[in-house]
Amino acid sequence: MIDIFSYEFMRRAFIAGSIISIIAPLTGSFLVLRRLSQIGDTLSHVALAGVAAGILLGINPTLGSIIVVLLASFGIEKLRKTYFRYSEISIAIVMSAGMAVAIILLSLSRGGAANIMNYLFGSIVSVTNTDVLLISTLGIVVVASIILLYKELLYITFDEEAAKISGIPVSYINFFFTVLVALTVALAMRIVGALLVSSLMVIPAAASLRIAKSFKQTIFYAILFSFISVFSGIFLSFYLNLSPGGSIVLVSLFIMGLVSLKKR
Amino acid sequence: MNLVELKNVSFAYDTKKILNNISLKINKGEFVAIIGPNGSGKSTLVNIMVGNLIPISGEVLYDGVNLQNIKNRSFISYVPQKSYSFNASFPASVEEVVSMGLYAKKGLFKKLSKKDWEEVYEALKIVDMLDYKHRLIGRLSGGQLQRVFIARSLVAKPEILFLDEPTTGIDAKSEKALYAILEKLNKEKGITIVMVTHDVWAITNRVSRIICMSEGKINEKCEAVDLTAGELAEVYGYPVKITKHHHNGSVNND
Repeated sequence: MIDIFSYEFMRRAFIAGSIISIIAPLTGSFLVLRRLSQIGDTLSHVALAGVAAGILLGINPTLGSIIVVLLASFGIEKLRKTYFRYSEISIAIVMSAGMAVAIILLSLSRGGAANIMNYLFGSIVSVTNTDVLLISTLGIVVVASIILLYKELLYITFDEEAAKISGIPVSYINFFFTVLVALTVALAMRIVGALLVSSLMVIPAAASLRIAKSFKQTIFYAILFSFISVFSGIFLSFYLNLSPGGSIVLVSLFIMGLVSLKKR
Repeated sequence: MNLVELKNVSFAYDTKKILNNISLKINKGEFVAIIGPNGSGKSTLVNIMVGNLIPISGEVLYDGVNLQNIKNRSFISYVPQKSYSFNASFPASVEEVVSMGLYAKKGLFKKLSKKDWEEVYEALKIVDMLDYKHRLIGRLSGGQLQRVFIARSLVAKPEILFLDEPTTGIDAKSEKALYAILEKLNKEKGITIVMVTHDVWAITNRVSRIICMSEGKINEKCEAVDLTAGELAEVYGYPVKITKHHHNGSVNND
């Protein structure tokens, strides 16, 4: 067997993967419990527009996707207030806008189509040092922010109305949280791919819900399951020459199946 | 001294007038019940007193200060009616839910200290739910859940506690336990309690005053604890049959 860690690109993939395996379920658990699971999916599609813009303009595509996803998340918040009775409309509008822009930009950049496959399906080999630096720095920002705002996020997730009445600055925190989700999506896309980002945010949390006995445990198990999925997924994809995103998500689904067998 | 005073408070949704020129004083240490038929404005009145709704005219004063000028409102606590219809599958433990009562007071970025957790357990002890602190809230009965929400309101050490129909959807035995807890809070901890309820006869011997609402106004006639069927019929607008619950659980029909 070839030593997986003797490759520079595999070491990069594991560093990036471990950070993503923490931040995706961390933000994802809050999204799932607020019934906003589709937001991850929407933002990941929008992120493709950023990747396409990056390729076209010759800047780092991950950076491009971070910028575009942040803009999109503000758009969703704004639209959600406009159509507050039909908040899912905002998600659909932003998703269509993102995909349309991505497709146009791609058709403009000749040869970009091959490159975007790495972002659509995720890639290990193509993770650059700049990507690792971006993922590590922003990943730490996401984790630190959630630790600092943990109790407020918990209260808002549990009962937004009561949190507001008690005096927690709910709208500021909601806005900031959307930014954290946007960052998570843009970073995670590099490894798992745009099409599967939201699975890594949702499936570990879904599995965790089956066994957790408190909110803290929900987050802990979600991260644990995600970490196992990402690591074994990357191993599988390396030795069996499979897509990393697909392998990671299948492992996480397998874990969810196992956990579901356990009686509560 | 008056803790809360309402001066000529009116409230309307669009053109529909809900509260019509209400003036009212609640003293420190009182245990007040607000009764009245559905749509008489009871819940709106409470929402105005806790500051969730702003009156279109008139003012709400706490110790003589207008509520709208009071920034730190942690001395006011409110257990809304919808508490029991929250997302029951939410994976939070009893102690986590109760600790939420401290979050706003604690402020952003700060973790709960050991002392804070002791206060959480103290509040759980008061409502007799300490043994359930690690239980998921989805696994509690309606009555237990209501006690957890009361503990959440208590943990920030309020001076005044508002409850909107706290006994809706819970069985008679839990209801009795709940009233006993409220009585204890009022008598032993000196917390002023204002409670919206339909359950007139279960509370008459516990509360110090009853406020009757009908059609957005306070009916002055029934500000006594020993209401007669006739007075009550006037408030509700239809004949009322009195059913008295005794402490031993038996029921008397007058």
